[in-house]
Amino acid sequence: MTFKGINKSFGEVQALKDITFSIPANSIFGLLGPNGAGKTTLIRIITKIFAADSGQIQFAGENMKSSDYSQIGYMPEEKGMYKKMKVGEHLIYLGRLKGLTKVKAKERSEYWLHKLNASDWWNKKLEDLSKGMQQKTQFIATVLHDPKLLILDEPFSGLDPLNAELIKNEIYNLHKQGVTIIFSTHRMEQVEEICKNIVLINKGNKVIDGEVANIKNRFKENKYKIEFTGVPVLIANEAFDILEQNENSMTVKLNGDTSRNSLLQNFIQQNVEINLFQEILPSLNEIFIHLVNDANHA
Amino acid sequence: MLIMHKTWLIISREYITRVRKKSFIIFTLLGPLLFLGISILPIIIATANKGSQNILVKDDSGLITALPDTAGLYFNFKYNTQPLEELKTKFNSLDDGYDALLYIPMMLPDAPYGIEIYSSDQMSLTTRLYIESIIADKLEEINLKNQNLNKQQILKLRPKVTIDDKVTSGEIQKEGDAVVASFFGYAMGFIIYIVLLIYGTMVMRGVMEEKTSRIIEVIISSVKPFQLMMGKILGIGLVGLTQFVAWGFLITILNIILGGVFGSQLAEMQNVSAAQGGDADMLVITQAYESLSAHPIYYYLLIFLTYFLGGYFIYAALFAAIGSLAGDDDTDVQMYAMPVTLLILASIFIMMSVVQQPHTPLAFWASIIPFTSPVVMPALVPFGVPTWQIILSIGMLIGGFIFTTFIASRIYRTGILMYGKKIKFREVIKWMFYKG
Repeated sequence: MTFKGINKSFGEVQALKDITFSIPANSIFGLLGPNGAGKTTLIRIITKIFAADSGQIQFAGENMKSSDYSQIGYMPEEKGMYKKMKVGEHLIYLGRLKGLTKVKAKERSEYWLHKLNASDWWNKKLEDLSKGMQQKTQFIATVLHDPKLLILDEPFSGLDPLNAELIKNEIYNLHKQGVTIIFSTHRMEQVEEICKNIVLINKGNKVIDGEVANIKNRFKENKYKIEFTGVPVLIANEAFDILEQNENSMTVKLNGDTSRNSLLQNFIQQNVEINLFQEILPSLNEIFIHLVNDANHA
Repeated sequence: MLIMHKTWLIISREYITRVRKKSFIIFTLLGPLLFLGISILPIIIATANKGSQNILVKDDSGLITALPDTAGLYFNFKYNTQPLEELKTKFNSLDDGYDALLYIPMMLPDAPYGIEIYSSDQMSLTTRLYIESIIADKLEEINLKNQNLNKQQILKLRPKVTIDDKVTSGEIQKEGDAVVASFFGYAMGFIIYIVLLIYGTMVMRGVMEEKTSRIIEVIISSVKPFQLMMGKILGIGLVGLTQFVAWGFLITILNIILGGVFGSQLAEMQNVSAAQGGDADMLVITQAYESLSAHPIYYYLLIFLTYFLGGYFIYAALFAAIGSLAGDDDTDVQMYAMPVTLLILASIFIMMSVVQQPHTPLAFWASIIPFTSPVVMPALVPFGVPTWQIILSIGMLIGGFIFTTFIASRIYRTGILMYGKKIKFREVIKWMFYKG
C-alpha cells in the first residue's frame, strides 16, 4: 500500500501536508505521532470517510477500487456502539453492513466470541458490558468480515493487561494469516515491539518512515551499556565519554571511530570481568523528540 | 445493488429497534384508548353518576299530572294527598325507597316559584337541569293553550335561517360546508404538525446518538453518510406509518365495540341535550353528519399521506442535519433546532387562520411553499382547492424535499465527524461546498 503526496485541509487548517510513504504487504505497520498529528485524518482518508484534496493511495500497485474498501477492517479510537442493542445482533448488523450474509455473520460472530472467551455475551445488551468487554466486542466487529487490511486506532487503551495480551495475540495470529495491520498510536513504546515498519507524523508532516531497526540504527549514538564485576579505572578521553557510572555498570558513548573492542580492552587489561556488553539504541520516543526539536530549530 | 442492500439494512435496524421498544408498543396501544377515553369520558361520567333514580312527586298546584320517565329518572305521584312534612321524613322508606322528593307548591303556570327537591344525597346538576326543563315543557304547553297558540305558530315567528354555500370557482362543484370542512382541515393539519415535530425530533435524536456514542465512525467506514442518513429517515418514517396504521385499526375496532356498549347511552345523551333546548345545535350536528358522507374521505386520506410523507422528509432531513451538529451536550442542538421548530410552529398558526379564511393570498402561498404546505394544504383541501394548485404544491414539495435532502446531506456528512469545538454558522455554509 503506497501513499503519494497526500494533502488534506479543513478550511485554513492543513491537516496533512504532502504525505508519502508505503506499507509493505503483510506487515504490522505503526502509524505514529502525538495527539493531533493527523493520524486519524489519514486513516479516514484510507477508509474513504474523507477524500484527500490531492494525492493517491495505491493498493497492490493500483489505485484503490471500491471493492478494496470491503477488505478493510477499521477500529476507531472512540469505541462507539448502539448501546441498546444486544451483542449478537450488533455484531450481525455490522457484519452485514460489511457485506456478509446473515448466516455467515452469525457464524463468524459466534466463532470469535468463543475465541475471546465471550460466548455467553450473545444476548447481553452492550450498555450492560464493562468497558473492556465492549472493546473486545468492538474488536470482533472489526475482524468479522476477514479483512485483508486491519486498521486499529489505539487498540489497547482502556484494556487491562490480560485482555490487551489476548488481543495482541489475536493480532499476531491475523498477521500470520497474511493480514496487513496498521497500528495507530501516540504511545510509541507500545509499537516498538510489535511493528516492523513505521511512519512518524507530526502536525501534518511526515517526520520519518521506514523499518524500525533501520531507523534506530540511523539515529544510534554509539552508546553502550557495560555490566561488570571488579573495579575498573577508566578515564574519559577523546575516544569515549562516560555518561553514567554505578558500582557494577556504566554507560559509555564511543566517539569518532573508536571501536568497541578497544573499549573492552581497557576492562580486560584491568582484569575486570565483563558480564554484559550491549548497545543502547534510542527509543522511538527519543528519536521523535530529537527530530521534532531539530525541525523546530531549523 | 450493494448500496440498496446496505441502505435496506440500515432502514430495518432503525425500524426494528424502535418498533420493539416498550415505549412504542405502549404508546401505540394506549394512544387510541386515550383518544377515545377523552371523547367518551363525559358519557361514562354521566352514566356512572346517574344510575337510575326514583323520584316521588307531590304536586299541590295540580298543573303537573305526569312527567316523562327518561334518562334513568322515574317519577311517581302516588302519595300526592299526604302532607309534605310527613313525606319529607319518610320518602326514603316508602315503597322501595325513593331517591328524592320533588315538591311543586300552589303556583301559576307563568310564575312557577317555590319548587323544591329533597334528597338525602346531593342531587346532580344534570338531573336538576333535566327536571327543570321537563317541568318548563309542561308549563309551556299550558301557557300556550291559555293564549290559544300552539308550538308550530311560535316556531313560525322565528324561522330558522340557513344559507346554502355553493362553491362555483374552480372545477370542484360541491356543497360547501364550513363546519365539516373546518373539522377535517383542523384535524389533518394538526396531526401532520404533531407528526413533523415528534418524528423530526426522533430523527434528530437518532443522529445525535450515533454521533455522541461515536458509533458513526464504524458505520461510516462501511456505508456512505448519505445512505446512513436516508436509512435513518426512511426507517423512522416507517415507524410513523406503522403507528398510524395501528391507530387507525385500533380506533376502528374500539369504535365498533364501544358503539355497541355506549350507543344507547349516547342516544339518550342527545335526547337530554335536545330536551334542554339544544334543538338548533342538534340541527347543525345532524346536518354536518349528513354532509360528512358528501366529503371524499379517501381523497383526503391520499392528500394527508402525501403531505405527511413530503413534510416528514423535508423536516426529517433538516433535523438530521441539525443532529449532526451536536456537541457532547444537548444545549447547542436545541439552539440550532429553534429555526426549524419555529417554521413548523408558523405553519400551524397559518393553518389556523387559513381555516377561517380559506381563499386568501396567504392561504395560497402557504399551501405552495414546501415548508408550510405539509400542514396548510391538507387543512385547505376540504374547502376545495383547484387541481392545478395541488399539483403545483406537490411539485414544490418534491422539489423542496430534494433540495433540503441535498443541503442536509452535505451538512450531515461533515457535521457527524466534527468533535470538540463549537460549530459556527459560517462553517456550516462552507461545508455545503466541500468536495465529496
